[in-house]
This record gives sequence, C-alpha cells and structure tokens, in this order.
Amino acid sequence: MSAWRSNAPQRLAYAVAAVSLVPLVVSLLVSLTPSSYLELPRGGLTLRWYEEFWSGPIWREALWHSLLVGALATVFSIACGLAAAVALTRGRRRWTAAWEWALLLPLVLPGVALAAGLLAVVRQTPLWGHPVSLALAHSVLAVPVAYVALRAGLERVDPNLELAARGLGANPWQAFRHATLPQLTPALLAAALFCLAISLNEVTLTLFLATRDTETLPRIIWPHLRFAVTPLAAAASGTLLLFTLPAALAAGWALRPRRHRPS
Amino acid sequence: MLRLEQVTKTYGARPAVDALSLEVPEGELLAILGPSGCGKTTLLRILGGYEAPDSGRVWIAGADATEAPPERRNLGMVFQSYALFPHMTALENVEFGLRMRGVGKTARRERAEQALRLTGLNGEASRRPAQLSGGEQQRVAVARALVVEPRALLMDEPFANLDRNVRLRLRDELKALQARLGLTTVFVTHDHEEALALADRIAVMNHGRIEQIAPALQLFLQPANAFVARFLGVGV
Amino acid sequence: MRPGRAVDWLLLPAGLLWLAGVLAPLLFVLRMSLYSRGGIAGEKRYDILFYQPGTWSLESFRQILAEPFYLRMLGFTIGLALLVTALTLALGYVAAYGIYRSGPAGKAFLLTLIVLPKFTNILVYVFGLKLLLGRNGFWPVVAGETLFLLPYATLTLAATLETVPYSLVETARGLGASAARAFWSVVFPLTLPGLLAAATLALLWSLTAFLGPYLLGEPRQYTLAVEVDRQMRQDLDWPLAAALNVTLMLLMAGVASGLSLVRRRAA
Repeated sequence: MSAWRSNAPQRLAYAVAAVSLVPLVVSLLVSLTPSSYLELPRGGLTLRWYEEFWSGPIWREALWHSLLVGALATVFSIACGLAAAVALTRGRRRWTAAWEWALLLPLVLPGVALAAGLLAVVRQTPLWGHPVSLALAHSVLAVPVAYVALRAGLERVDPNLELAARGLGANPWQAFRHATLPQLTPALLAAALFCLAISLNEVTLTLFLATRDTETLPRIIWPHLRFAVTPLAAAASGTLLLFTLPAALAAGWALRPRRHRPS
Repeated sequence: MLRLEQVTKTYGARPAVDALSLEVPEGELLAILGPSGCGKTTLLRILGGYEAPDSGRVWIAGADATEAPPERRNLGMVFQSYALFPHMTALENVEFGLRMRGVGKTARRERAEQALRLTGLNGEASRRPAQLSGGEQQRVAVARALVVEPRALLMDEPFANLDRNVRLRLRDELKALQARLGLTTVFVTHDHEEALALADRIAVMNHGRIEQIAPALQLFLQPANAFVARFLGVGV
Repeated sequence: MRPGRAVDWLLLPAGLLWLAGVLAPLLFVLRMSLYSRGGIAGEKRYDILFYQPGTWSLESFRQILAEPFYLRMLGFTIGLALLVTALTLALGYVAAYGIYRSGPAGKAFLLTLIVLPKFTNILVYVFGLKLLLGRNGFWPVVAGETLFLLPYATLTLAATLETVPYSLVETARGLGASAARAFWSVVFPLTLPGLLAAATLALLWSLTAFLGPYLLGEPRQYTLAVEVDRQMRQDLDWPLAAALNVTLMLLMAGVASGLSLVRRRAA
C-alpha cells in the first residue's frame, strides 16, 4: 500500500474541513479590505471598517445588547440545565425519559415556529421589548445543550462521593457543593460557553423578538446582508467572531479528552 | 448499639432485604458474608442511612434512627471504591467531616494528622488520592471515617480492591485498631476467609435473609443448613 | 441519599421555562392557525391584531392546499431537504472517516476545524459564502444548507465510527478482502445506526431551512420557513403563517416517526 493511499481518508477529511472554513476566511478578509466595496483586499489590509464600527453608536449599542442578552441567557440556561441535570441523574428514575424528551424538543422544532409562537406569547407580557425576554427565548434553545453537557459531566462524578460527604456530616447542599461541584467545573465552563455562543449566534428568534430597544448585532447585520452595501457588516461579523471564537477554543479545551484517574 | 427490626427493601420485583432483623452489641466486629446480589450491601446502606427501607425500623444507640439522614447518624462509612474526594489532599479528605462539624482550623488539622498516623500514614498527607496506592487510599478512607469519632464503623468490601499482600497486612492492622478503639464495626464481604479472620460474629446472608448468625467456629462446626455449609466450603 | 422528593423540585426552573417558552408558543401557533384572518395587511402597527379573535376556521389550511404557489413551495421544501440531506451525509461520512483514521491529536484537530463554523455567527458565515458564490440561486442555497448541517452529521458519524474497532478491517484484509470490500462489508454496515441518526437530524433540520434560502436564494428557492417569516413580519397574515408552521411540523413529525419505525425494524 502506498503512503498516499493510506493517507487518503485524512486528506479528504482535511479537504472537506477546508471547504467548510473558506466562507469564514473570506468574511474575515473582506472586513480588512481598504476598498469601499465588498471585495477581497488587494494590496494592503486595513482596520478602517473596524474603526468605523467602533465609532458608530448604533453598532456599539448593538454589541452591548448582544453581550447583555448573551450573559443573561447563559445564567438562565445554566441554572435551569444544572438543576434539571442534577434532578434527573440523582433523583428518581421514573419519568426521566419523558423529561429528557421534553427538554430536548426545542432542538428539533422549526426556528420560525418557535419564534412565531414566542412573538405571540411575549407580546402579551410586560417583557416585550426587554432584553430579558430575548435572553429567555435564547435560553429555550440553550437549555437542552446545557442540560446534555452538564448531565455528561455529572455522570463522570462518582455519586458515592456525595454519599460519603453526607456520612461525614454534610447536608445535601453541602455535599453537592463540596463533593460534586468542584469536579463539575470543566463541564460548567464548557456549558456556559456553549450557551453564550448559542445566544450570540442565534438569528431567527432574535429577528422575531428584538425591538428598537433591544437591537442586537445579528439584527443590525441582517439588512446589510440582504441589501449588501459596505464592508462594515463584515467588520461587525468579525467583531462577533472576536467574542465567539475564544469561546469555541475554550470549550474545546474544557472538553479535551483526559486521562481517567484510577479509582 | 445497632439494631434492625423487620427491615424490608425491594428493588423491582424481588426484595434485596427481606424482613430482616439484626442486633450488633457495643464493641462487636460483625461480618456480613454472602454471595454477590444477596443484599448485604443494601443492608449496610440502610444502616448508614444511604437507602430508606420500605418498612421496618433502624435503631442506633437505643434511638429510632429510621428517618434520620446520614449526616445525623454519626456513623463512619468506608465505601468499596473508598469515595475519596479527588480534588482534595489526603489531609483535606480527613478534615472534611470535622469541617462540616465546625471544628476550628488548627484543631481540625491536628486531629486529622493524628487520625492519619493512627492508620499508618505519615508523609502522604499532602498528596491527592490519584497519587496514592490502593492501600494508602484505603487508609485515608478509614482515617476519614474514624476522625469524627463515629458511634460505629461501616465498611463495604474494604479489602476488595487491594492485592493479596497488602490485603493481609491491612486486615491485621484493622483488627488491631478496632480492638484498641473498642469500636462497633460492621463490614460486608464475599470472602469467607476474610470474615473468619476478622469477625467476632458472622452473619451469612442469602436472598435478602440471614441464614445463620454465629461466632466463626460455631458456624463451621454447626452450619445451620446446606447453603451455609456450601458457602463456607464445608462438606455436609 | 434518601430518594427524597426535594430533588424533584430542581426540575421546576426548567419546567417553567419549558411551559412558557415551548408549550405555550406551540399552543399559540396551533390556535392561531385556526383563526380567520384579520384583514389588516401590510402595515406594521403593533396595536392591532392580525387575526380575528374568537373565530374558528380552516381557511388558511385550505389556502395552502389549494394554491399551486404553496403546493410548489411544499414540494420544493421537501426536495431541497432530501438533496441537502444526501450531500450532508456523503460529505459528513468522508470527514468522519478521516477523523476515524487519524491519531488522537489529528482527531482533535480535525474535529475542531469541522465544528469551528458552528461557533461563529451564521451571518458571518453566510456573508463569506455570498461573496464567494457571487449571486443567489439554487446551488448557493444547497451549498449553504449543506455546510450548515455538516458539523452535526460529522460529529454523529465520527462517534459511531469510533465504536468500530479497526482490527475488524485488518482481519478482513488479512482474509483477502480489498480495502473497498473491507469497508463496504465490515465498516459500513456497522455504522448504519449512526447514519440513520444523522439522516434523521439532517432531514428534520433541512426541512426547516430558513436562513440559507432567504439569504442565498431567489424567491423561487423560498421554503415554507421563509414564507412563515414573510407572513409573520411583512404581510402580517398570522393565521396563514401559523398554518404554514403547523404544516411544516406535521411534515417533520411524519418524517421522524417514519424513520424511527425504520430504526425499530432494523434493531
């Protein structure tokens, strides 16, 4: 067997990965173009569109809204996801399958159906037009992911540790806090970053639910994308990437395969 | 000291513990011996408060403790896997129970170091469980259970994860320690040799019931039935 | 631990969010699809209702099933989903097989590369795709939707491949099978469950294709989901939008139960 043949599967996989990354690279390059048109930079690169982005109050405010909503959604999702994961891994076994089915359902619902229904629901509450409503809507999509990540983390922690802590005089909360939680840190970090990335990247729900008071970055990029005008939208996209990319890498680090400790 | 009264615990269709009564007097070392799946671990967990019985009562030191959660029972427990907290050092593991009882930092440290010395550990206090050998881990688990001065000690297959030489040495040490402290102890095992070597009395369990409970010698000389005889390897 | 009821209370936050954020919206959509339409269209004024409260009517569903415009759209949505699913599975399998045959470091690196686009805003991605492909049309939509779904399919298939010991392939080769033969008769059959799982997800998600057709397509490539958005936010015919949503979800439920039947029969 020749060396090329044995490497063929990897080469093909790298080719697929490269193709899937090209749009991202193009998007970033365009944001660095000195030209006023959407085109790949010829000659030098410039940060002029990023400067323009940061000097525009609309864009800065949208970024702030995006980050605020992202932070709130992360807190909501982790709270709901962690509580549910503890209940379903440590509690009774009955109804667990039904609960999981319900918890994961939002993942397969059409985004436009959820968005349309949420629009109708939220409009009837005082939360309409408030960042919290957007954060709660993003949490609907982030809770399933947080739940799955945290359940996986909890399943790796020996349940006897909590029992041992109880036997040594800890109440249920102390036992969880001292015996389980410290070992859940990587899973918690990964889950939080997933939730943040989901919120920052969510477009459909945001389009439907955001109002003038809660314009977020995706909502401002949207018209630029449909009626493309300047590389400013590329710079806005690049800025979003600045926040989500470290999140992606950190999540990858937190979930890296580790050696099992002998028990 | 410990008393079970008509205790039943059912998982699914078959009872793991079936209307079982048992009394452990102060200072006794009792072995619960039986094949895997006979309900011996469930019995131990009911004593410790880690499982609630479906019916029956649990008495500790003359008081009804059936409803008491583990943290109110003040019993020491050594799990089969030791259940050492992997993110804490050996010393911090031993200190944990004292911390939960609000013992001050210096007193805590002193008592924990003393407990580690009692179980034969000296230089390993600042190591994490993953850096300790199986025998050392077991010593930490025993020290952690003893340091809070429990009313009784419960141990689930405490020697199962050790190789033979370590097992024999730790067995002798534990027997000596238990005799010195005069501590009521219940341990669960599937190894009749271990039970014979350690225990004052042995309870032979099968299908959630105690087939016979007696001192080791009597068990050998007068097995109550064919199951006990077969399990001890005595011809009938 | 005593199997206390206390731990069940921890389900409350997620349960409340589910009731308000999943069940209530779905019930709203269901009820909305059975209203008569409001007759106010085209104007964005949020103090008026875009339906007639208290009415029960099947007119929106009748419209969807009677107008060739919507029947064509339904057909296009299904056809697009099938094509995108096929392409996603093919590319995903290629990527997953490369991951399978890599060392530990290579596995992690390839996985990171494949998953990276999912951590960037989909608009950033579409932006690049748009520039790359020049103008909107059918193939840009197919490319976009395939690339959106590729990471999920790859992850699912890579996880399944990990369960196939490579020694099986070596055994087959040792017994005289060619590389291709060893793959088709050993590896491929063992990955069928994963392939079915990946196909289910890809099919369900591509049926709801919204951003790809909207941003990369011409009106001829608009799917049901795009029409939902148009009716919700531009034409303000909420009953029709809701009926389109219900149609879409019924279609998905049909696909999901059909495929789970296949899975059960295979098992």
